[in-house]
Amino acid sequence: MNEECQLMEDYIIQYVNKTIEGQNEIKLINHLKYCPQCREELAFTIKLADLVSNQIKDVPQEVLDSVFAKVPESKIKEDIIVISQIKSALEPLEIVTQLLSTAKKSVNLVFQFI
Amino acid sequence: MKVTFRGDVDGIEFENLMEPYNRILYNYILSRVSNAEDVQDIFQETILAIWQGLDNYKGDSSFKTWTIGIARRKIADFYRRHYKDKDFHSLEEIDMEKTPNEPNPLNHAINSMDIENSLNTLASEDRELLFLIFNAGLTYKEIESISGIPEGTIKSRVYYLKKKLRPLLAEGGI
Repeated sequence: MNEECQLMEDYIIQYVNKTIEGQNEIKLINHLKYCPQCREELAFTIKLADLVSNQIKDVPQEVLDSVFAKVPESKIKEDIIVISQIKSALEPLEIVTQLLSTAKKSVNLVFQFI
Repeated sequence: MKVTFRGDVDGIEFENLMEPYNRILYNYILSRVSNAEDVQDIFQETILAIWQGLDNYKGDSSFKTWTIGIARRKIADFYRRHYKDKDFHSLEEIDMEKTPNEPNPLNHAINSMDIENSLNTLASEDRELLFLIFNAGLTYKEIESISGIPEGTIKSRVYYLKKKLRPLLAEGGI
């Protein structure tokens, strides 16, 4: 096995588990065109991946239900309520700020005339 | 006030957030722990830890890698609690020097042609590695980030593992 094939071994794994980068994918495909050894390596790696993924099972619905029932009703809601409360608390302040900025503009305008 | 990750997901239910990852996390635990009740307990702990830790997720790794890292710690906690390290072989404990001298657990499997079960005869750390690569779809770098095993060690481990499995898969003809 030459140096290029050694590099391709990594790319083959990455190709099969879909983590390969675009540039390397092109290199691999070009290499496979003329390297029967690496084509065999690809076939073997696919078989291995199939074997490993055959063991995957669905999560039983009752397990999911029971597990998520124990997650507290959620800080998400609390946070959202807190944020919206703060927002509404800030609204009058925003109005005051806007009034002040309008007043400032008017004052500036007056100064320009003076 | 904490408005980091939760703020970003803005009202998305945690259960929906986890939906794409439940299967991989559950099967990861299932691949490391045999008792169904223990699997459910560890899955429960993992999900709660993810929920509690959402604010700490800074996006340094993918969300998937981060959640698998949490599951991995929960599995380690479980073994520490129950076996006080007696029977616990984690990926970290791989001793490359020892591997060639170990009796080959695959001999029996080859004879019985029971290829599916042959994976179960692999050492726990080997199965874990295969799971993380092919089922979880992690890169060697990501596996390094959750396990602390250097990428180079993972690479040579995969090399030996493939060498070991090659005759089996050829004979099985699947």
